[in-house]
Amino acid sequence: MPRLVANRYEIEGVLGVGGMGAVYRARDRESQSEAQRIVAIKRLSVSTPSAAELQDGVTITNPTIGRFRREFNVMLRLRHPNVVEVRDFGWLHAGEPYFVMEFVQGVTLSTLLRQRNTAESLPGESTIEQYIKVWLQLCNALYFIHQNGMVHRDVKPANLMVERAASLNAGDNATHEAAQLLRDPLLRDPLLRDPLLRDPLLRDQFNLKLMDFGLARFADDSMNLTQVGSMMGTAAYISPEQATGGTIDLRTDLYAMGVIMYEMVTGRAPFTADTPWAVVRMHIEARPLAPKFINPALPDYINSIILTLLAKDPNQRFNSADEVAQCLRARQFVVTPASALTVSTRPTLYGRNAALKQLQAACTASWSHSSAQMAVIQGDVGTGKSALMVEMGNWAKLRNATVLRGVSAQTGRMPYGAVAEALSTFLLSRQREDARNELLRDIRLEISRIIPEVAPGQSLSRLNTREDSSLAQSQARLFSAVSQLVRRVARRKPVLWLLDDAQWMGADSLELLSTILRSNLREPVCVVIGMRPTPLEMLQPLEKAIQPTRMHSVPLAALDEASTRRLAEATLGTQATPNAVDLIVRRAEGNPLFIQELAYTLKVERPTPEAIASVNETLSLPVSARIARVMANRLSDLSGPERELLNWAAVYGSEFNLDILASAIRQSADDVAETVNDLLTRHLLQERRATRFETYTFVQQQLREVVYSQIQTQSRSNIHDAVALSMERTGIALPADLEFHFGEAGQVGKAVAYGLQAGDRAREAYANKEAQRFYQRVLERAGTQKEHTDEVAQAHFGLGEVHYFMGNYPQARADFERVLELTA
Amino acid sequence: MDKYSLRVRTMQRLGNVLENEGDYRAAQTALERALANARTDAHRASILNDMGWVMMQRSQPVEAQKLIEQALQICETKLTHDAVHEAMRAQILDHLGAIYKYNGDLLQALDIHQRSLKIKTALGDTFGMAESENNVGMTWRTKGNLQEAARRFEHSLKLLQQVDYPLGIANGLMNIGTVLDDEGKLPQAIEQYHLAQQAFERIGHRHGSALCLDNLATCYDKLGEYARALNYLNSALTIYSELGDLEGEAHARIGRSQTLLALNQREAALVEANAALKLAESTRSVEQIADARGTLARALRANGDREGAVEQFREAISLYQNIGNLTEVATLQAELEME
Repeated sequence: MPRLVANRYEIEGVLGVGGMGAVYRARDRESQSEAQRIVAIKRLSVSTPSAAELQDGVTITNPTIGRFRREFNVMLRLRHPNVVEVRDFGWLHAGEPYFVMEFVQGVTLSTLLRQRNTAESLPGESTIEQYIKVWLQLCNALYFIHQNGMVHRDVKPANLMVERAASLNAGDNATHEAAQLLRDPLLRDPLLRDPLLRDPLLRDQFNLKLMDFGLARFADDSMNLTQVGSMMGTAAYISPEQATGGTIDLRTDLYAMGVIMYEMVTGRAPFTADTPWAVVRMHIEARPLAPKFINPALPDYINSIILTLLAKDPNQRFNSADEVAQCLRARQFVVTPASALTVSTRPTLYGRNAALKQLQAACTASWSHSSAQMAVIQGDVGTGKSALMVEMGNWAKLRNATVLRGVSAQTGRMPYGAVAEALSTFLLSRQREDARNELLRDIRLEISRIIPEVAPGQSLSRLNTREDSSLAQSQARLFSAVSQLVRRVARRKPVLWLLDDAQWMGADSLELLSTILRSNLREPVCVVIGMRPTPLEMLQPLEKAIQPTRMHSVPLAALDEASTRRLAEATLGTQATPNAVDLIVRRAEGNPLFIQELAYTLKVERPTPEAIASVNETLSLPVSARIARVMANRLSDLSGPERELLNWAAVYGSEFNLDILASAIRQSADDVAETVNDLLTRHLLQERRATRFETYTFVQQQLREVVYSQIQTQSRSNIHDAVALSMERTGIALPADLEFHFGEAGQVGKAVAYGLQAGDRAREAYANKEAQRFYQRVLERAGTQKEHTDEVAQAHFGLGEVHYFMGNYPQARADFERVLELTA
Repeated sequence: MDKYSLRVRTMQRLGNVLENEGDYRAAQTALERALANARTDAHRASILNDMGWVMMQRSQPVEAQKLIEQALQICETKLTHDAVHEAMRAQILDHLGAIYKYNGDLLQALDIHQRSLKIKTALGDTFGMAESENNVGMTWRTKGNLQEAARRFEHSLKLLQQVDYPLGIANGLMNIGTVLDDEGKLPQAIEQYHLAQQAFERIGHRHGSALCLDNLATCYDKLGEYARALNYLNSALTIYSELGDLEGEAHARIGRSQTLLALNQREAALVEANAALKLAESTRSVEQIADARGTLARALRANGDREGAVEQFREAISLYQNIGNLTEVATLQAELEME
């Protein structure tokens, strides 16, 4: 750590070192106020930009930078007496981010609890009364940050500072006193010298301050359950959804609050075990002992509040910190429906237990017998295929498995689509250099054909050599290398490979996947494919690759009435009136997406006669059209900027990069991020995790289709154009994406140029069918326009190469002869 | 790629297509045209390499050697040693090694294959390394050093097992079998061929499977177990026919004819030999036509057609002389003299 940071903060000493980084005491040279002169600086040990990136101000290539900047811009604006003030942030020369916060003179709740637990018996009635004041302040802090669209993600006693009240309003004198204390080497353990701090909780003179909110987010991407070492301090407070990689929202913080309350009233954590891993498992699976059982002095309502906060299912918890505060103040536990949700919540899976069990059985069979297994989830739009896959991913992570994920896109983005995407994300985002090298040993060169980033500048571009004619062999080598890679991954840990939207998988991808399955007969690899109802012939290559007993069909039918009712109630939350639920049961036909969309509509509008009428109007339409209609109704409620952003996102594609989109819209990334946050809370967008870049998707593909269908043709074209130009500027976009957007924008020249690049890339990876598709599209786009003769010749050359490699010599000869004509 | 380069590359590719279609003369013309238009050294080297290979197909090894040596010289003196050019150099060396081996210059062939291996090792191309090890093994086998050949084949197999390349592994197992076969360790060779055949079956590579069956038949033939040998040949023949592999079919029929003769089924042997010759002629493979004629000669002799046999022996000897297979020439001449 340099002695002087940003030419402004003089480092005076270390205050502490934690999992996320170190905290330093510093003096702010520029502070006008004596009270604010002493600050704390936290240096974060997270993946950060290189010095060169910082100088260039590049924000796209490293997603952490953009996130960090945006998170801290929000934090800078937040001011609340129960939240530690963040004043500044930046990067050190080594690329590590730091932030400057107010110096809180006090100790952490963690320190105080440690003292109490060793010194005292269980708290009695009067102590609990004092605790309520602590909890109310915590509720204030949480409610405030949640209202500002943030989730803390790491609420624990170590992140709660108890500030001595004497310094709160005492102005400069108190600060002077604090400064004196700071020079004292005993400061790190103020309990030894300050009688006031020794037991502030039993007095009224304290202020609770929540710190480090949002920081856990930076650790999320690199942290998983296998790295329990890094979770030592956090395991005790982790929510089940965090532990399983599920959706995190404000209720995650409420769970942690429940753990803190439990610990305070019982003197022990709800779950204790020898290892953090075991503790995490208990958070997911075990039921806590009622706190009143341990401490009979505990009032019933607090016992109930704690148990409600500790519910495994977030839907069973409170909806906001304010609701908790109201119960605490009222000294009774009554869930008041008054406060509408400020952050949307997503119900978990309902009515899919049988499907889930079938999938789990396939995985278990694969992993316990070290064999490849495959399950195909088939269901119409909205039947919950993706949700089921997410659930399976969480289940697998809990069992210490590696989860690979890929989503096929209708337009086809990279050679071998979702199959390559899953491996690419795994290798490039979630593997350390040494582990990656080990996985790629002997096969790096081949793998670079589909993931060029693994051998930058080294991959062998194709020469006009005779040996290339042995396509079958070259392709077999590549497929063999990919199979070997999957096998190596599976040898470390069992693999669950999730491939969503497989109805859009191309022939090349299916062939590669079939080869992998064929060659992984003795490895614990379970492939789960989610697809809309598709002709069975599509799956033939896969069926040939795997024995029938290892292939499982998981059709998703409509939910039964009981499940529909439960899902409706969970989505409606506090607004689940019998009328609304009945209406949903009658109209949704057991389609989970429809159930949720109807519930969201009714939640916004309440079950008024008009809302019911609007739902009834759609009765004559097929279910998918009715879902679309309900979605459209929900969209009409959006603000102008929200709707505009959704339009851009819908045109962008099935997922979007925030920075590229901001650049296309010509708005700052922060402004766009703010609107994205609103759309996240409205349950329209979701963050896509475990990708290399900061990306977002619509919560449902059909929602994107509805938004897209409502945009006027000219507008669409303009947006495609702006998106394409923005992508082109970044230099990280895939040629296939550029080809698509420029094509839709009517920019034939660029579409043709990128189409050739996309075709060449697919061809070099032996993805012949995909290459053919791109070259054919170049020919279609270029038509007979003279200015594109060169590109037409190149497309014919590409097609000739593909035909030659495929052994179709007459067609290859025809293509090559056409090239000679065009270039004569 | 600019318009001009595209044009030259297309000419070269047309040459490759024609070569694959078996029209070697037209392929040569297309490649010569490409060479005349090539502007870069890399391109010239690549085209010369292709031209050399076409010459090999035309059974003109001396001309082939000259062309490929030119390609190598360009690579070594004019091109930078980047990964792309180095990969091309390795490939040129592979071709050159094969030509030296064909020409009987085995020491030179070994040296060339070792050089290729070194480049592939530097590039980290494991598949290529296995291929070169295999080439070195093949050359040692031809040279008669079966121990060294076995060592190289085993190393190649190990590399292929490291990357788990099933096709390569199956081939490797079969190559080790051929060395055991050469060493006269027939039971071990049989075991090895069975392993190879299973490996081919696992990946659905029927042609490889047929080759193994063919080799198994040869082993049993050597052991005097003709009925068993015939069974294996029948199985191989079925696969070749299904695959439309005329050369394979001809080879199996030649084998069948010889085995039938050993079983004293003379008429059947003659039918097979005639069928084999017909197939061999349709493949235009000089060596195979010579094999078929030699076999037919023996079948005719066994059936008492001495005149016909002499004619076929002479034809076969002439063909073997054309392709420089002096061992076969000597064998057949000895048989002819006996007539």
